[in-house]
Amino acid sequence: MARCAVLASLLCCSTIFLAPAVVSGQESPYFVAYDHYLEEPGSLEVEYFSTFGTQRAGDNFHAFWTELEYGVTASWTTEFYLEGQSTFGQSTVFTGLRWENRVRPLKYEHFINPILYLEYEKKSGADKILKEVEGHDVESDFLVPNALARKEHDQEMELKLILSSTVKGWNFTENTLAAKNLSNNPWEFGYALGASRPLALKASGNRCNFCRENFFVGVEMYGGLGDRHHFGLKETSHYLAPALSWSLRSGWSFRFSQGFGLNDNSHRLVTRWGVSREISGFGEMVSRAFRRRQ
Amino acid sequence: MKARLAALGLCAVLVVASLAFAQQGKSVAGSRSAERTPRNDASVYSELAKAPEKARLRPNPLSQDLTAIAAGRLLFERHCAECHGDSAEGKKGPSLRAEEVQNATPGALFWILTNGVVRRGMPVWSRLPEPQRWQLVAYIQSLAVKNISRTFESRVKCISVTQKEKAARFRALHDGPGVFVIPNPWDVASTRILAGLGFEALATSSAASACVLGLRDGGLTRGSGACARAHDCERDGLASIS
Repeated sequence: MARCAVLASLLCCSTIFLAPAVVSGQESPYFVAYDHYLEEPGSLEVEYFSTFGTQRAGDNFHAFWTELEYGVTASWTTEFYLEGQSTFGQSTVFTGLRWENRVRPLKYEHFINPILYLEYEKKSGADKILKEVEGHDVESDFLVPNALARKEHDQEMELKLILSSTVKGWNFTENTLAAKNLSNNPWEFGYALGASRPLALKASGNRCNFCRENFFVGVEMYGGLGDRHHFGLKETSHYLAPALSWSLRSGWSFRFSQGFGLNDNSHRLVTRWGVSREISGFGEMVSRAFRRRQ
Repeated sequence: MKARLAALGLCAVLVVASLAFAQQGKSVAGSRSAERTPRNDASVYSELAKAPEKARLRPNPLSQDLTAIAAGRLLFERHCAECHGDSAEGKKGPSLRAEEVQNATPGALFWILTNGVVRRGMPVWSRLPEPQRWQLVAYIQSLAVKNISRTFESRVKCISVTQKEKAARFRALHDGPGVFVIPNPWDVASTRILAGLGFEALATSSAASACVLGLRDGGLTRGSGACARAHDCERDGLASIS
């Protein structure tokens, strides 16, 4: 499985560097929260993200994931994730995969724009990417050594209702999460909130990478809300994370976020960074490759 | 083994979805007759008519901003050229040089940018802040100005416009509806920008032109700048006064 992940990562990297048609999108700075903007139809975004987390009474960790985000239509985006982690002083392990879909049900833009989110996860107990916080996820869960945690396997379905709004350049988003382990575990709940804005609302007339409109700043807050039997904030973890993204004209985007745990159940620091590149017209490229010669 | 199969299965689904989408676009285009490709299918433009009255009547707040077109062009290259073509002539998406687009109000274009045409594959662009969307509108509408000036230029080559005709046209501008706005360029670059924005006549400011060259008002000779500016006005078929 680890070999499979390495091969997939190599494939992603070669796709990034060999892709001829690259466009630069405006990337929101969020790592956990989602806004209502989907990938452009036919475009593929290849992304790599890292999370460095501190661990009290245990080893710090570096978790990472590769994300392939594809715009199937203007109202449907699908994403495929491969993820892994290194726990310092222990080992590096492949921790699983995810397949998520986001669908926009409404035709026009409204003050509040809903997006429906459906995700399937197949991951081991060693998963540490903290892509979302749900139920009673707490820091002490990560104390289990990799050698033991990787033996536990979970399959999970996750549903989200994303409500996002853009007003005077500001984006505000609220994500409500419900996750169900496909074994006999109760529904778990979580949330993510975000606000972001570009540094400049007007674009400058110059070709530049350091123009203010290429930078987005924001903040996100996320955490668990317990499960069906014990709903609420008791024994849950919560984070607040200022975030920044920078989109270059060449198509590359960079993101950085420094998260802070808000209670004793949270990791004290969660530092994230990521790099992505958008490949426009990927669907057509694939289609051309398989087209019958006349 | 099962996990590996699941991973391969998901990869396959992703590839099949890509192919399905790409093939769908192809088969739809293929099944239509040649004149109904997205580039020139007139029904594509019917979306413009769906803009509500209030949205349609919104003026472009950046219409007097000289940098709006240049910034809009860069935004267009970055976000729109992939579908609408490098010079907006249409590609996967329709041509933005078409009469339907050029005759649309700035408000209607802004509304389309904001809401997208999701069912036809155009995403919503409210991700771009409002001023950037207005800059895009300014650029899209400037394409018509270029068309007109090109057409007029070719006419000028065929029909010699006499000084008397120019004077008559210039006089007529004073009688038009609304306020007659005539800006003052001070060098060749500002003349070209203002002409590109669609002003029908340009005036000159002797003080500003002289000042740019480090001279006092009245110190400008015909050879030092005024001639170049007059030539530009002539070339773009504009009425000019000194």
